[in-house]
Amino acid sequence: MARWIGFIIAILVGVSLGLGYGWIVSPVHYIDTSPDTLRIDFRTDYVLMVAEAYQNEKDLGLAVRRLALLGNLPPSEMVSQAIQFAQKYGYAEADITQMQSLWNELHALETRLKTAVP
Amino acid sequence: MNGEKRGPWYLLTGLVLGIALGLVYAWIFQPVQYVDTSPASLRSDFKDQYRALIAAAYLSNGDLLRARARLELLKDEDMFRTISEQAQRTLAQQGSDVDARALGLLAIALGQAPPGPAIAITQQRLTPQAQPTWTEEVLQVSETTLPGAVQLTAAGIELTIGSPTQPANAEPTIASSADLSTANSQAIVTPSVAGTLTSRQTDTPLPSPAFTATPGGPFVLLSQEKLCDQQLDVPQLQIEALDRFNRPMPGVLVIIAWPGGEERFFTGLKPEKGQGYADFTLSPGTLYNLRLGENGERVTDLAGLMCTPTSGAPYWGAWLLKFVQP
Repeated sequence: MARWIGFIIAILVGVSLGLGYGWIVSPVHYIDTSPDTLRIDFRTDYVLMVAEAYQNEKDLGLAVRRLALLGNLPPSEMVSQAIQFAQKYGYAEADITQMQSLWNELHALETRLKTAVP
Repeated sequence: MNGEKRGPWYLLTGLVLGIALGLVYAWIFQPVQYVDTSPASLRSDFKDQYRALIAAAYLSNGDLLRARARLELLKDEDMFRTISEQAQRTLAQQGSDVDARALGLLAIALGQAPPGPAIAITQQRLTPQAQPTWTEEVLQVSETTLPGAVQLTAAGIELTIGSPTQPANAEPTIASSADLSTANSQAIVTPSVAGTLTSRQTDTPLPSPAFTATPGGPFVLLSQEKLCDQQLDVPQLQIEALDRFNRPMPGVLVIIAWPGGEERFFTGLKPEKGQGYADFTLSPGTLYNLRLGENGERVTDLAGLMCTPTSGAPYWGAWLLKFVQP
């Protein structure tokens, strides 16, 4: 019986050592990540940057390519999420308007593409 | 008796088994998932794209403070140098002209930014917890009335702007109990040429004075001088772009063409040599044409200059070409 107790304690010590090593001695450092892993507030700012740049460039294809770095969702959906976050946290109206403008363009584009495919 | 013969190996077995279980749990059942990361952790090529996007947004909104706050998220050691290098790298790698121009202009603006008091925003988090209610106001204070600092208070945020007589590196601070969002608050401080300090707070992006690459008339050659400097080990073209008041002009497109090639870059990317300065290394034996802007006066048949001292071996020199936009 004492052996089994010792055995279980040894396992627990092993697990503790593994976790201690992983969490304290050598914790995970995030490097070489991609934009799709960004936290929601950074993602929203990224979308805002795309919207700001779009106001000047008027290049929807370029905006779509930039948004594609944020993941596989449809571009309008990404912008929509950003708008919702911005509204929730009280971003400036001018910023929300710019994102809304980009969303309108993207939504229109996606609608055209859907109707173009039989 | 039998157990005593086996010794304490069972403890080691348990330990190894525990570590194995921990690893299986960590690697298979709950593998690391990268979520909620920050821009600082992005891979270097994504960081390049992020910077290019910051520059493109800056080109659109002209808000240098917002661009700077965004660049700070990337935690580059020297954001000005990083942006300058990326601008030059983009040009050298035949990247997007639009990106290169945006990066170049942002680099120039960053290089120009701190002649007067600068504002540093300590950004704890992008998520705004409390929206500062900025009311648009312009405060103009003459330099003589600024013994120490100006304090502006808006919605719980205290903004302290140092006197223009303070050292250049004295950074005023924004202290706030609320988190600040770059998306929500900007403060732009622009010391005017008359020595007055204009402070403006608004919730809309303001045009920055950094866009000096004005369309204007075509550049014409003002002078062409030989520079013999033994420090130079390669033949060079040195270019200076000036406005009609003889002030250096950053962000001016320089186009150098030679048989079978062309290179485009901007003035002002080496601000330590002047805001309107740019240089280019020539290949010996090749003739170059040069113009500033798409419609500028073309200077043709430029070749590497060889300087011949009265004693000693000849060495490479440089042509200094000054252009003016009348």
